[in-house]
Amino acid sequence: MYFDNVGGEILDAALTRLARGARIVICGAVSQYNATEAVRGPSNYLALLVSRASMTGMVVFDYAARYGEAMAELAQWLREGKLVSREHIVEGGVSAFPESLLKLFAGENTGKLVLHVGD
Amino acid sequence: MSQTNRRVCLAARPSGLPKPSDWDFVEEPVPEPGDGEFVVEISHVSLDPAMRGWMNAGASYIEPVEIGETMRAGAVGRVSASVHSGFAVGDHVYGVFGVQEHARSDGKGVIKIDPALAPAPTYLGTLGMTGLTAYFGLLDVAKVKEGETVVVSGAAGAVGSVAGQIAKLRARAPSASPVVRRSAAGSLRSSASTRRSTTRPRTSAAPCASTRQPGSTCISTTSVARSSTPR
Repeated sequence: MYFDNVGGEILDAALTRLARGARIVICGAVSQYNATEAVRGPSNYLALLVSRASMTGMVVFDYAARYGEAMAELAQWLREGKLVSREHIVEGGVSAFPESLLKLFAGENTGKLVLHVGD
Repeated sequence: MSQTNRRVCLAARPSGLPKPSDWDFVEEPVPEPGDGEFVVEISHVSLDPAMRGWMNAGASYIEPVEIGETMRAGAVGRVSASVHSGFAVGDHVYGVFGVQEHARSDGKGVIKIDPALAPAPTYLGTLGMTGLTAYFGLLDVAKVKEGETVVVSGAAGAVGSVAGQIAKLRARAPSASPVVRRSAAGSLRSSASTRRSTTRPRTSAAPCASTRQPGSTCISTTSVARSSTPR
């Protein structure tokens, strides 16, 4: 199972390593969001045929009715120490927003990038 | 409470990486809540790669942010004034409040959060949209089962770091990735094979497509979880 947040060349490389019956979930494609030319497509897509694999997209909003139960389970895992939450907090308030956003596209964040705007 | 609200508006649709000129800063009096409304004093704003997509015109899974509009963003904060029966002054809340210091809301899509259970920023990450994305993506969309090998790209990011951990919980025993070999520089505790590289890796899964500046940190960290239990 391949959970893809990057797209582009990474997705193309992953397609060359599929197990039979593999599933690919397209969650995001951070490598492509700032592309000024056409989005780079997965040229190795025929690996899906060879491996009898599937590739599907997802948008979390479709699960809004179940956010509560999922949050409860995630919170439980945090309490039990099974899950570690990483937040990367940037100071500077809203005026730091433009340059802080760019950290996401330069790989400068580890975990969730958050802008601190007030107490 | 500050009497001025500062907010960030989309000034122009970017081409490539957003430039300073793509943003406008607006200062205005803090809004007053009308009937059925409340005002939130925001403490933390979520920064997400998806925001870049919301800045583009055209059909997507959500309406684009219009020029002149406050930039859309998830945020957490505390209710500072309320004329809403469901939200009282002092309530801690999450909502899509935008990149600003104070937001007026009618409560739609707003959820109350408990800062005693987890710090407010966690409700933007692991207990927020990115954690939920990882949760539903792996457990509902991919239906990850014990014994499967799971590869997560962007595994140092907000979604990927949670996805890697959930994969480990569900697929069990993590192992070193057979695909991606990287110089380790700060792997997440939960994921033995999360890697962050400052050099161009040599393996087939290596190229980092988005940022090609020399010496930049590659964002394409990848983690693998695999079970030793046969399927």
